[in-house]
Amino acid sequence: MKEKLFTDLLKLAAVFGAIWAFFYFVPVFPEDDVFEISIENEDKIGDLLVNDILLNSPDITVVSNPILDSAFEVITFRLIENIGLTEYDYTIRVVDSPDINAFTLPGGNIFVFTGLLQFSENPAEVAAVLAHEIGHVERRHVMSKLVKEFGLGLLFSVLAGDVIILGELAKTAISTVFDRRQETEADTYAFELMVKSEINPTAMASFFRRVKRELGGYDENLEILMSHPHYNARIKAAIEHDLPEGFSHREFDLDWERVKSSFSGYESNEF
Amino acid sequence: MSGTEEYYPLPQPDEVSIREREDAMGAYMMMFAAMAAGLPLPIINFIAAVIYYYINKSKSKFVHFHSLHSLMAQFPTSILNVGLVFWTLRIWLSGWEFSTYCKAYIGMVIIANLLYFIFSIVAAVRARKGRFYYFLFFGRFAYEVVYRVKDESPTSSVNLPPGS
Repeated sequence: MKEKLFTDLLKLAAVFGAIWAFFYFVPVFPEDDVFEISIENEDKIGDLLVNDILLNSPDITVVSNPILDSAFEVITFRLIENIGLTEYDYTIRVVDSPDINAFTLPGGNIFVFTGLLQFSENPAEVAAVLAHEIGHVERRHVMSKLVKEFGLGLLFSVLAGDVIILGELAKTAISTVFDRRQETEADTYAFELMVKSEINPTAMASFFRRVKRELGGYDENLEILMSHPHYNARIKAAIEHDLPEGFSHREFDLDWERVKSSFSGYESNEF
Repeated sequence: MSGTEEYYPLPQPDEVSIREREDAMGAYMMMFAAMAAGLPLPIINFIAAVIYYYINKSKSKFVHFHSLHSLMAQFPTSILNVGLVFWTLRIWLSGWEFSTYCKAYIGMVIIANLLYFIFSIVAAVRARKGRFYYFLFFGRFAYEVVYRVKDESPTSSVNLPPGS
């Protein structure tokens, strides 16, 4: 009897194992709609949005000077060469604004505010923020939000030349608040990218900790970085991220104070 | 397995009273009510099933069998449902990824619940007719527990008369 019971139990386990395997290997559940939009089309939407924002948003003025540009080249080069295989061509722009903020548009377009640069104490902290934004790009979080907000049909109509809703699309893309899962995904991606780029993930923790200390927690200007009030967990995750054996942090060879003083900006002590 | 020396004979439908049939059917039907009440904490319906089992198991072997059969069949379904609630909460609160593993698990839980519902209805109808119905594994297990003749001869006496 015991053998028959055991055989029955095995049969039962096999039946449910087969059911699980069926659902695992056969895509019964609909995939995220974002995959309906190719990277090429995402690039096109990104270009349209960037043009629209630069033309029609008086608050957003791109800052550029040789010192700032070369500093960003150094930081972004270190990150991008360690991304590995990517389908995106990254473009990083600095926006003249006192807000401590950064945002991402489709197609690998990342915007960093001068307020954030002024607030940062070293280039590693800016690299941490960029790595986080790159995480949102690689995981297609912005497109995912736009698809959910506007639907595939509307996005395809934009691609077909309908520019009427472009402004609305741009506004949504800029103010996108990611959900907790997406923030965690972007953080995890950032930690891994930073380690590969010889940047200690604690740079992100020190940046967030200072934001918390000096700004007293959640701030409306930090929507992108601080989408969720419980960022203590994010600081903890950055500190506790496993570092490979023999890891050593490589400093950026940049005079960060000189970089910060290269744009007419805002004193860091104003916060 | 079928020898009468090892197992009590199974009652035939005409030997099972209406009351026993209804109690046996109730073991399955009660699970539906408990399951609905147990949402979103599926463990509650399992506790209700255990209580129902202990109340009814001494009524007759026929009722005992069906109560145990239903309880046992509910156990894995409840565990799967608890797992689903836990996983959902982790996704919601801790940012766990809604992965393919999770999707496959949801699919499996849906099928498990559907199978449990369908087979429970069949078993309830059979029980109402005074008949038996055996789920894979659980049927054999319940039969073994309820209908197997246990050797009840004492191996040693502990309580003895005075002076012995």
